[in-house]
Amino acid sequence: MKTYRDEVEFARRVRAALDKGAAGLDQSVTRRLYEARCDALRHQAAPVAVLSLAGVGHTVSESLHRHYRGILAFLALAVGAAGVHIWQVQTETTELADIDSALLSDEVSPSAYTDPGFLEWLRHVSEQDDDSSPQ
Amino acid sequence: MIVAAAVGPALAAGPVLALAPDWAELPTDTQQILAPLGPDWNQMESIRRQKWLKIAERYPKMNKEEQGRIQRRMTAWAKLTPAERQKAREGYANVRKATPAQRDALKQMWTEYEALPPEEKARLGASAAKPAVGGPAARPTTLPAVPPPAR
Repeated sequence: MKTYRDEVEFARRVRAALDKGAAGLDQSVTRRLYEARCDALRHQAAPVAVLSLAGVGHTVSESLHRHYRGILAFLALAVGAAGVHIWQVQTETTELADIDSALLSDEVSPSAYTDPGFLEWLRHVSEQDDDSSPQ
Repeated sequence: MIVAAAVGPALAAGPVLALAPDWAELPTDTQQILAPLGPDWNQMESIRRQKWLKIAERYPKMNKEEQGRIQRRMTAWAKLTPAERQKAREGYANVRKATPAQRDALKQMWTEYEALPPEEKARLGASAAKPAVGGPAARPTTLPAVPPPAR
């Protein structure tokens, strides 16, 4: 049964054999190997950054997303409330504009509806008509 | 809370004010239509400004007589209290429900009333202000039933 010590010895021999082989390689081959290693390391950078979110970063990210979702929901509510408010004001002003433009352009002056003297005179005339009408 | 503080005032005034510009920002043709209101425009509440802007939109579709009446009455109307304006609107709304004959009668009676001497009108006004026998509720505060046009 192989022990840990045997495995370490085996690894040392393998490394020595690889070092010996590598030393005899052509310079163009070692340069290509070096470039390939650098390229592999560059590609490894991105997965490392993603993996870093798996711990505390992930929790923070989740929290931020929840926070933003809350703000977005509130903003949507606020925009909706603003829309309803504008619609109500528009409806009210349109109704007022309808009646006021008709009232102000009518042949009978708006004063007819607010002049207490005219109201009194109308009442007086109405009473006279009632008195003179046949019983 | 920060968002609420920011959105609250905007809800109260922002969108409304944006639709009710100051006098200097109005187009020239709108200023001409609303000219009688010019001196008081910037002190007017935004909702009233919006109403007048809508009236100004309707103005070009009116005939010359109606346009003249609106411009002549604009200033006096704007100077009425909100309660007086509301009373006039209610009175007018009632008259609009009346028959054409009743409306003609009202028009005729208003013409006759306007022709009365100023002192007679003042006497009628003072008489309306006096409490009637049986209490103040006996006095009419809105237009009474218009007599038939045959008088």
